[in-house]
Amino acid sequence: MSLAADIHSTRGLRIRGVGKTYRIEGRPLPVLQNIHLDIAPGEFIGIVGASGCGKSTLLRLITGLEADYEGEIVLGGDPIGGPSRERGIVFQDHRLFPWLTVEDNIALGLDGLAAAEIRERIAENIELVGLQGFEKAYPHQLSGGMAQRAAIARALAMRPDILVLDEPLGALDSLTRVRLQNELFRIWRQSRMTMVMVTHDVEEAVYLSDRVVVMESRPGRIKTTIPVHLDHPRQRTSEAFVTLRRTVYESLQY
Amino acid sequence: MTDITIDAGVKTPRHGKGRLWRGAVLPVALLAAWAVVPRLLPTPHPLLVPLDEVLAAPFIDESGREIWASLAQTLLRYAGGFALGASAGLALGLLVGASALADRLVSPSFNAVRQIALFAWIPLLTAWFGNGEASKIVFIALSAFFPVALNTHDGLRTIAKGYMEVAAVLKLSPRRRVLKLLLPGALPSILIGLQIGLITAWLGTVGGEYMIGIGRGLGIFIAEARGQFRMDLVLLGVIFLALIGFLANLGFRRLSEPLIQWQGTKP
Repeated sequence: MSLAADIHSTRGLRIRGVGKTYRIEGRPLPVLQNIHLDIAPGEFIGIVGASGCGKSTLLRLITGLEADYEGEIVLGGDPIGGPSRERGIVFQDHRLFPWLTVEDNIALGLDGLAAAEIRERIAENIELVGLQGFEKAYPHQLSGGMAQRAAIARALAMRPDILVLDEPLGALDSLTRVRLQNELFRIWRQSRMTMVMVTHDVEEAVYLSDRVVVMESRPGRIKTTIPVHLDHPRQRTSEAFVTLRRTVYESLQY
Repeated sequence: MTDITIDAGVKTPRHGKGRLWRGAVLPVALLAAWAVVPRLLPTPHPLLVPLDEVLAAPFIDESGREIWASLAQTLLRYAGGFALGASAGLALGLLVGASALADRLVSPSFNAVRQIALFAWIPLLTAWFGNGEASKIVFIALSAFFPVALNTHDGLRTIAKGYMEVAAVLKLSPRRRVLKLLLPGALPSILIGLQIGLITAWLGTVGGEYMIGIGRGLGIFIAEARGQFRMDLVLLGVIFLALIGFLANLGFRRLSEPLIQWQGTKP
């Protein structure tokens, strides 16, 4: 298949027949079943679904934080088995180490590089997320939105092939959230990185994604995938946008 | 005694000056009474020595001057015993906190042994090490050991799982995991352990001296003064005890606060 070969050569992500089962008190509890998803390099995928549909578990499988799954998850040619700096993650809670400054947090994933290179990467990513002047600040001195930017910078500094975002804006107020959606779009454009984002916010998914993956629960499956053929920057109030948003909502309902 | 919890380094909101003064009224009144009331008695009573005479004793009284040498001995013992016990506690806490195997092997015994009331160790220690310096040092070390070990272990155990996941995703090397995550993450709790250990070791120092009673030291000074009905010297010793304990605690807080500035002010 030529498409698969394409993805292979440029380090896209291939998810084939992936299932995951937890054991609760000895009884198997399937959380993900038969997930198929091919993600092209540079693509932005939004995943929506009711809570308990396993979307966060899927992200944890991609990052390698969870093991023991059925099927295959392959980045480029390499099957995923455990965390790697090729795959970055941003969590809902920023998880910056509170005892390190912003720049030291960003430097965490950079050991092994030359000192000059580390400085350069820090500066580059601080600038990318717009945190100039806060290099020496501690997490408790940042607002929620700024902390989340720093967390994004920390993940990006490793130059991963793919960045997964687990409801990264879920804990922010709606104003900060819209602002950071725009920022995230800009960062995605500038970094040309493959991104997979789980969100509860349908509008956010439609605003950012090339494709919106709708999942359903018990066990978690992909219900449908809705492509978003809208030009950027997207107008949230345009008719096409509103229609798409409704389509996603409706597929979530039934 | 290992269950003492204290507020470590988190600054309490500043009270107004007025409040501070109101708080000082009672102690100042008591001290004034202590200075005046004994003089109003028709004949001096050996149990009621005026404050100023107590305070003058270490400078003018022959037996009172003994307190300086005793104090030096005690401080040396305190420092040595605390350093020993705190290091051992820190080492054990880190081992047990970092290794699940060590935890399963050691923790049950540790938890059993720490139920022994501290002063119950004294007969055992004197039997093992004699009535000399060794018994006292080991006793002081033991009194610091338990709270430090316990709080160090606790600090490591309670580092948020989310941070561990970050360390996994960022592929931190074992060395950097210790330096950038485990130690700083456990530090607030380790400092609480050290602070409690400093207090319990002080109790252990004076208590051990008082009960073992051979050689020089503040505890022995007090025991002897009591034996000679020198109430002024007993009181003097008690004042020194309180002062040293207070200063140790204050000094430690001053030194440790900058280390955990990153916590910010918590609600």
